[in-house]
Amino acid sequence: MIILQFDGSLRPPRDPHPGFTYSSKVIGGGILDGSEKLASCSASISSSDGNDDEKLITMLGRYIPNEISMTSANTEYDGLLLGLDWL
Amino acid sequence: MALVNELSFNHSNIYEQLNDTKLIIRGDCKAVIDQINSKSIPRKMESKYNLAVEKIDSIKELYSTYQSNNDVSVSNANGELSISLEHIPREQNTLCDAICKIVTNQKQAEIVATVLDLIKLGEEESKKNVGDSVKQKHSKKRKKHIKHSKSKYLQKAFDSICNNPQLCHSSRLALACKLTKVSIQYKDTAILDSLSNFFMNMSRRLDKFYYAQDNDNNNMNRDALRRASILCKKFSTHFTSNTELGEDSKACNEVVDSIFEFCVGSKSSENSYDIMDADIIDPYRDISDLISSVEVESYRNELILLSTGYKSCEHGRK
Repeated sequence: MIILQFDGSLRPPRDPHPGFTYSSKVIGGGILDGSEKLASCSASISSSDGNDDEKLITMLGRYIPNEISMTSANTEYDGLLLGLDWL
Repeated sequence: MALVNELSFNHSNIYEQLNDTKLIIRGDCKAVIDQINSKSIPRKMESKYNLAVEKIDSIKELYSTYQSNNDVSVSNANGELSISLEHIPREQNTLCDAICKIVTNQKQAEIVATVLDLIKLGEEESKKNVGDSVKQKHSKKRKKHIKHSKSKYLQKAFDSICNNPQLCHSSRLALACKLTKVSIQYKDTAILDSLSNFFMNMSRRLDKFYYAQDNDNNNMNRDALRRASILCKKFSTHFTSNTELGEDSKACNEVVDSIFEFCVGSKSSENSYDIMDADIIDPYRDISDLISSVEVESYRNELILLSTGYKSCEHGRK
């Protein structure tokens, strides 16, 4: 059996200092729109004989150029499509 | 997930791998899984939903073709590939989550590298312009001073630092520190004025972030940003009106170094103001916990390929 796992992510840029993190609470939604987030998606494909052991076949990752209307569901779909494309 | 070793996988034999006619698709987004399972309606996601369904159908078709061409006996009655979609909790999707983080971290690293390249080009251009302005000084009367950057590259670098939403604030500040040093070296008063405004704006924003996060451990002295702002202005005035700098020259270096040090977590030196080595843009930081340190390097090489060429990797682990 082949297992395709996928994920998508829409996050603000990672900052090592918590005090520097964007906060929509204070600044308001206007500044923190979709364009200030980084979008990416990924998929992993593995095979399994039905037991717990899974053999990793490949890992895929892709940066998605962001649009204002981007949602996390969009990125999740992109992850799924990335995995299906490989298959 | 148990990642198993000794993988010598050839993509062409993917359908051989499917010899028990089962493909399981797992994701932590219930909405997507429910939509593909026809439990909910895609609405806004319709185009991507249609694309996914189309791809699933074509995989089924390819599988059937493979089965008939190779005369493979199948275990289920109609010989069709069975595809099931399962929703899993996020905790069971750690590898994919880590890959996403790597890809975004790498993008951030690329942006930082681009700005650093612009600063480098700006340095070279400013160096050349210094030579040209000396020649001009001797040949004709100097024009009235207009505040434009001496280098279009430095101006571009500054614009990226201010306006690129994909930069985190730590990288933004560290790059501004580097740009400050270069601007002082080449007496770029226009950039120094802009940097003065930038540091002041950041000191104001930082207040907001500081209280928003209620983070008492944040030991960044926000006054440092205000001092950096004032010192950039003083340098600009010094270069245009020959005002006295006195101790400000030393103070500026100290304050800019301290901001840089805070942002990148390491000290700067005259020759090494290296942001690329800094922990803040290590793209692989998030996956380090997931895999052992011995394996990080091989993952690194492969994932560089992945995120720049969008190619798949085939991987074996020992």
